[in-house]
Amino acid sequence: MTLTEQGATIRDSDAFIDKSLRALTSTLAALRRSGIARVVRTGDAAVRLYSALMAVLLLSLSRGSTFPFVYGTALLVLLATRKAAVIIGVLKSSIVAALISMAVLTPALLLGYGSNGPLIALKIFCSVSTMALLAAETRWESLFETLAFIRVSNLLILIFDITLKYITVLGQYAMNLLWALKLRSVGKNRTKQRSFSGIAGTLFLRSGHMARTLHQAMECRGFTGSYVIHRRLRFGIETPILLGLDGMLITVFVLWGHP
Amino acid sequence: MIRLNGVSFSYGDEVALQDIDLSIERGSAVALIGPNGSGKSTLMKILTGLEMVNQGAYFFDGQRVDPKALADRTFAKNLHRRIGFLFQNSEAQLFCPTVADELAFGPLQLGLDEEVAEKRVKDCALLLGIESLREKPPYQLSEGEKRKVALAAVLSLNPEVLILDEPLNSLDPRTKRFLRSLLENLHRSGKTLVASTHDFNYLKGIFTTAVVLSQDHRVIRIGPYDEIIADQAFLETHNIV
Repeated sequence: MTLTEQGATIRDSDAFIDKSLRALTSTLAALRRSGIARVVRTGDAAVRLYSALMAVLLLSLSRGSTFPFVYGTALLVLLATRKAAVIIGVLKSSIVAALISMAVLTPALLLGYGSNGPLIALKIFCSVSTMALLAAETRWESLFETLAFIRVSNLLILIFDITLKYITVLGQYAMNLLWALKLRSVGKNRTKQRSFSGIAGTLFLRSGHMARTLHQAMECRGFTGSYVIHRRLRFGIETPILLGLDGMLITVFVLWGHP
Repeated sequence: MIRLNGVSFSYGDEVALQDIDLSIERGSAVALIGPNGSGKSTLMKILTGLEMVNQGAYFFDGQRVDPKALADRTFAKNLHRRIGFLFQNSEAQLFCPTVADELAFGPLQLGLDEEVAEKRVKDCALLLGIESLREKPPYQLSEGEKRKVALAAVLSLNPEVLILDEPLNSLDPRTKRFLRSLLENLHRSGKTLVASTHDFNYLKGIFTTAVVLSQDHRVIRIGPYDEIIADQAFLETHNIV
């Protein structure tokens, strides 16, 4: 709705601008949150990542409901010690994922074939919560870095890092363009979609220009096509705790994971 | 140290530089001044070896810099080690996950061992006052902090020549004063400085020579910096002030 010169409101179609702005804002906020997450030692970040992956794997392999229930309870206890914003963020994504899986399984339940439906939803809830907690408490840059320890190409990791940077930088630029479009969108305007495609085009050109400058900047600092991450594996107090928890998780899985 | 003989450059049909003759001595401090679009940034990219001249020749320390010479990795690395370039847009220059990685990138790429690189990271972070930013992602810093990180990343290579494209552009007064005094110290320590600028007052006392580029992409005057900056009529005629 916008105001005419006489002060009357008219309907207008700038919902897509608002939606785009909201989507960009939330993406950038998530990246900013990741950027201000506490710095952890490289070794700790690696143990966090591989512990989370192991937990998801064990959840998938487990039969019966004991292991997922034990794991889910422990996860909720761990989650309860976190800040409210982290709890809300983690639960929001995992509850949505569990509800979607339940919705998908509803026909099977109605036809009498879905006795495992709630268990699948529980496993999805636990898996998504685990990964969401990992993402909320570990910088994405640290997670990318840990990939080097499983022999992922260092250059590929640099590309991930640069991609993350560009999502932030171009997202901010797109937001500024959308704000400018919104501020100039006075009254009824049926051609805003055209302006929107203009924004996409401008972003494309801008990203091309930035990529060229980036390449020149790398060249200036001696880049000739190869890149090596020089980072020693350093562990803190978190690693033995996590490894202890991993040991307990494996024990629970062996005892109750596959009856 | 740096010599350009009859250099011309164009981006497709768009002329950026015409018939430039220029000589820069070791240890000098040269300001490139001229209106927007006169070719200052292009000239600096040529000096850094990022753009290749269409006509004429560029010599660095007696060696011709051309595509053939730069195809030799050793020559290219050596040139980039000796000439540091601070881009106008610092954001484009920063690409590593953390500030510490950013500062270490150049030294490690040039084959220095980790201990030496780490020492350079520490020294440069201390010099620019950015030790507290070491673990932060560069793209989340303020404009002034990004400029400092970009400059520290360049200085970690310990270049002999420092080329700076509008180093004080869009910075707050405190950061401008800080960078001004840093540039003064770098020049005093023997670095050759080449910088484009519109902030004549902030940079007063640093430059010895000014090279003036005109709207038609030619060098129209070379002389003592203070003398050229004092010539208001000349600067107004050529759309510089």
